[in-house]
Amino acid sequence: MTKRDRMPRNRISEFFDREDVLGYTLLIPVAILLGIFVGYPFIYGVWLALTDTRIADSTSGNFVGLENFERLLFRDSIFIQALKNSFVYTAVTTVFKFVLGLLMAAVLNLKFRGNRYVRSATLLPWIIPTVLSTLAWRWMFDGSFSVFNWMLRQVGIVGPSWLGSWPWPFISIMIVNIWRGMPFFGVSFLAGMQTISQELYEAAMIDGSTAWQRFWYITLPLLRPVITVVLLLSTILTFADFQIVYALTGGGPANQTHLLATYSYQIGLRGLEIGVGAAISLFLFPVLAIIVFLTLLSLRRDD
Amino acid sequence: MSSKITRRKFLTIAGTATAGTALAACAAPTAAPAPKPAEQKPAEAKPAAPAVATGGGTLTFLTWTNFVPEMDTKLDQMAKTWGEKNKVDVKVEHININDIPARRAAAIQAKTGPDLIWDSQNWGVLFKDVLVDISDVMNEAANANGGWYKWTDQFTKADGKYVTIPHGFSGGTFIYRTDLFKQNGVTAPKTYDEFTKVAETMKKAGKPFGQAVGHSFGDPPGFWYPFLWAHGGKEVNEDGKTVAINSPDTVMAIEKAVDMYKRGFADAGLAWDDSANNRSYLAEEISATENGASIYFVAGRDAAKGDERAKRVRENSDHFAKPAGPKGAPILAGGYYTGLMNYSKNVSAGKDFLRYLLQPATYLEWMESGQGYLQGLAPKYEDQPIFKTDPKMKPFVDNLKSGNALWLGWPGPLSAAAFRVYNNYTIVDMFAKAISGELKPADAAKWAEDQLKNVYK
Repeated sequence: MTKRDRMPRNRISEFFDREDVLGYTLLIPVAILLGIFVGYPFIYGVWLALTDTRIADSTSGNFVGLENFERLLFRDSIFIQALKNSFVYTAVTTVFKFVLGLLMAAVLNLKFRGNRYVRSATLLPWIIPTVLSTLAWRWMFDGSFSVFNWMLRQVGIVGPSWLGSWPWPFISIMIVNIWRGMPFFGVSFLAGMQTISQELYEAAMIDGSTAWQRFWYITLPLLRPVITVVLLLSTILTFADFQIVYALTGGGPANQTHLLATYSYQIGLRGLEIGVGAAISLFLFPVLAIIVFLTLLSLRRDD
Repeated sequence: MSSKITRRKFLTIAGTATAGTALAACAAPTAAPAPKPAEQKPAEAKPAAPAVATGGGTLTFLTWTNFVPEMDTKLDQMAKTWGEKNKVDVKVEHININDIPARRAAAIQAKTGPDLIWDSQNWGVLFKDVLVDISDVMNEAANANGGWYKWTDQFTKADGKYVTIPHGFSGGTFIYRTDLFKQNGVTAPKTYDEFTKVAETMKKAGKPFGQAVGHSFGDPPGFWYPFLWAHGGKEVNEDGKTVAINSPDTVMAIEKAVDMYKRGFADAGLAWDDSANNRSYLAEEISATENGASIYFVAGRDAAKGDERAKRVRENSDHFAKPAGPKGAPILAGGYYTGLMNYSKNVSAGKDFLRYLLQPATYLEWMESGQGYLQGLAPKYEDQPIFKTDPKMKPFVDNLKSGNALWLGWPGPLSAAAFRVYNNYTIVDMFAKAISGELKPADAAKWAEDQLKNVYK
């Protein structure tokens, strides 16, 4: 092969040897996919939110500016309820998942017989399809056949109407969310804990530290990056939760358990007002954008 | 400027992209992008055509999961038979009827999906722009079936054209335990005041009445709309535009509902769907509930298999008609209807299949597979043997004959807005908010008024 033949290949090779070129080239397929499946629907969603579009109504589709948002904020009490619910639901479940997940990781980090089996079993709530496990919970909360109420009856206590009387339906959906989300926290924290050098603990023990001090001054600070990422992902997913509420209460009774995602579905697809439905779903965007921004900022500081 | 991408920089970019994806996915609407409604094709306006010789292609029929499974089996068999004869690959998909509206909305937006869609109530009026004009099919069927009930005829029309075909009606009737009523010295109530007293007696005896107040298509609207009307309440005036829900009559109806629920109903009903009361009644937890004949049918079927409890339930159950309030004893007109979507690539096969379903012999065959669970929507079917041989089934036919059937949005005309209100469960939620104690009756009526004004504007 002559030198002349090799020239173009070398130029291409040299071009891709530049890390910035290679890096951006490798990102192109992802960027295209994001553009098609996220960017376009998102922009279209923004447009829909500014129109009075109704499914199967040829007279709709007119630009109405911020009217949908005005209606939601000032003339729709269900929306306000769903907005409050979304914040309370996310805050309460995240705190529980965090504390219980940390506890779970601490226990699973201990060496005991059958540890591997226990670790696998704790992942089950996370692995089982959400709708399937939520339907099982629905039976456990059923007004007539609740296993919890049956157990309570055995000790002479009349159980609540889990899915019927406020605030039990809301508590019920939070219980299921915590049950399902806790393994993700636990396993992530466990992975983080296992990267912490044992030497640090040994040194602390030589210095006479207590177990609590070792947890507080070694484990927790070194877990911070993992905790930040897990909290970020969990907050986003919990804010946008749909399946648990849809399968367990359908947003009822009397719309008391709607989150923004389920209410958006009800208005947009059941009620056919897809413009208003899009406006509801967009309410999440600024909230989540701020959370993502702050979290990534925190991660960069860690670096 | 350095062009080198460090590991950290790459991870930052990738991380931001991932988080952004998750974020945008959360915020973006769930429905597929769609063309502007203005671009949607108007209803097919082809002139009525004679029966077309079908041949080839596929046909997808999205329908509900029947509360009487034998009716689904029969429908599947009939579709298969017709498909083989006409060389059309017919796929019948059964899903929970509460999930049909979302599937339909997505299909309409994407302009692809099931050729035929089944739903309850006058859904055709809201979707007239995307349904095929099937006046030719309906005119032939009306002649063959001796004419439909007047309201059925209206339910299948939009702008003077037929857009859906009728299947059957169910509901407006209560099943109750005759033995338990007798033990407690009460009889089937004739008025809502009596209804409350009987329910109270039965609740004290540990067998309350049960009634769904949740988000489900059948029992909750089937009970609470007529309850509202029977006490003089209405969502809109005769003009079909002026919201009239916030009235003294409505407030009285809500007050009575709260009292009735507290005194005589199982609390769990606030979370019930259309099947929960069936399970509760069959488990002998409650002594009465609004129902089509599905409980009676399932109890009979299970009794035949040797189930002792089912046998006891079947033998000791009967039905009573809607009680009367100060303004009469209305029932919610309705039933089930199927439309042919205008995006279908096999319109002629779709029409022929609908023709087949409406042939009197086919219609009756399917109806009889449910042993009275669904009543035919033409007077001709009042003479079905089941309604003559089993007196416990008589109230169902009496309901249809009574002329007490009112429609969504009554006393206004059938309208898309009224169907939207039904889809949003506003009337059901108005009662639920007061029953659950979230709002006082007057506040619940005001809340409903605000919701309705968003729709009737």
